[in-house]
Amino acid sequence: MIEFRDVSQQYEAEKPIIRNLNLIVSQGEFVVLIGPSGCGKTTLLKMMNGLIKPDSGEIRIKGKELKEWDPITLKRNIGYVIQQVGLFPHLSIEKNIAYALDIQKVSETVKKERARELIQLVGLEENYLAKYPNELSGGQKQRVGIARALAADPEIILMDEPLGAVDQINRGVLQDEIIRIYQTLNKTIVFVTHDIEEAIKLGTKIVVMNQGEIMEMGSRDTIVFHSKSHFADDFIGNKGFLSYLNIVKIEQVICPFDGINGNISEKDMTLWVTAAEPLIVGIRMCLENGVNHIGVRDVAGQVVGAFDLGCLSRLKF
Amino acid sequence: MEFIKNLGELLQTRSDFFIELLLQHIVLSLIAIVIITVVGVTTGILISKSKKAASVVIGLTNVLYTIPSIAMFGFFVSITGIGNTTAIIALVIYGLLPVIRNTYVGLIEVDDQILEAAVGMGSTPWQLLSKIQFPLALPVIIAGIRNMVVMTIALAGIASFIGAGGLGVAIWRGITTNFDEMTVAGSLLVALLAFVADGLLGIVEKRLLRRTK
Repeated sequence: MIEFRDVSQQYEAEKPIIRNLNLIVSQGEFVVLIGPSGCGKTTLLKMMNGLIKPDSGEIRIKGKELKEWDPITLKRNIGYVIQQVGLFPHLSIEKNIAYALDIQKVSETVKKERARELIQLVGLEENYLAKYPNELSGGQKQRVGIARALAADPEIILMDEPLGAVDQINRGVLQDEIIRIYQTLNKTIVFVTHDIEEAIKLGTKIVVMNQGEIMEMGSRDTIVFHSKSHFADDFIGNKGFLSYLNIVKIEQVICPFDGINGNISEKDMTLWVTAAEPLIVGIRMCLENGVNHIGVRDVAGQVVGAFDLGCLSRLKF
Repeated sequence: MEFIKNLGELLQTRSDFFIELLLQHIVLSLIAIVIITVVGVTTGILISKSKKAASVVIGLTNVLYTIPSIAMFGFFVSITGIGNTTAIIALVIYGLLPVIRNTYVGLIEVDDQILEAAVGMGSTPWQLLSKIQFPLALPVIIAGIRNMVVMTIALAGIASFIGAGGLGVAIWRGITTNFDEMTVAGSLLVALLAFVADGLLGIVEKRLLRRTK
């Protein structure tokens, strides 16, 4: 979908913001770009819809070189969500959501229909359509921002720290919404953040950047446990590990009872945990109660196996 | 008390005279106001694309604005002669500054994030201007226009010094014949006209901007 080959870009002659960068974003991936301030992650994102042009190298979007794209058409083919949301204060929520369609001269009825569809998709009531941006809370505004990016049904959606200005509690809720939308609509998403937990939680591919270069990239397993880059290791560190434990679910590491050292069966289990809980809950229960293993039930209450510390250490992440 | 009675009598007995002057005043001001609005807003939009052009144009209009109005009228008499044309030219030159400046400031003050979102979604330059920038700049632009309208109506009173029509004729006649009631009657009508025009624009403004606040 998106391909960067030896791309460089510099604002000032001596200070490269992007250096010889290679990156491939495939169809259906959720790529998270993460790194310290000024690492070039936003620059990289803005190159994807032509807001910033590279000095050298080749960028291909949907197989077509950036130079061959008409800049306006390209932007209309890509959804774009920014940190401060940037809703248009003089337009109703309905008109805000339908803006991308409006500039493409889509008919009124289609615009109305689409706005109604999208407001529900992002979890807001239909009566919000008639409101104006200043009547909404920060989290609600960002939901509208996401709906607006989806209006023209783009295959690719770029998100530049969309939850940066949202408070902690709402951020978690919105992250879940983004994951749900991503899974329902099967879009390709590129997401910029500086929040490690957010990166681990959302990305199917995480790209760690520093000083305009990619230091490491891969799945959350790779980033947390097998990073070959010293920088990425330091940057992700224990915070990344902790996020990992918070996000990966027990159901992914269930051990059969006969796989545990010693002769153990369902009857020996005194403590039980639900499979949908994150790893950290299981580990905590073991440590708190001084045991090596606890039983696991699924949401329906069926016994599905055990969570075992010894077993955990033998798993390859 | 005697003066007010005389004033009332004057306005009554010479009502045809005053109505004619009032109409002339309205037409004169209106022509200037329309020209100023069109030229001013267009110029403001054009210079919003370039900081350099903006500083030159705004600097120039600032300088013109500081020239005393009598001097300006006098200067143009030597080029375009006496009469309404000269008056309108001078009025336009005076009125441009607030409109150009407010249009320019209104447009460039639109939040960068909003512009980035609009551009990033694929707006053409014209769509960006007409759908986003201009509507958002409208409160500031209208404030500039209101300012200009009141100023133009007041200034048109001086235009009769160079042979243009309007309520200035009454003021001028009052001064030269030492007829105080006549002077005051003309002045009052100018003030009244400015007051009404401002009020009307205030209503328009409120209607247009109900939503952007």
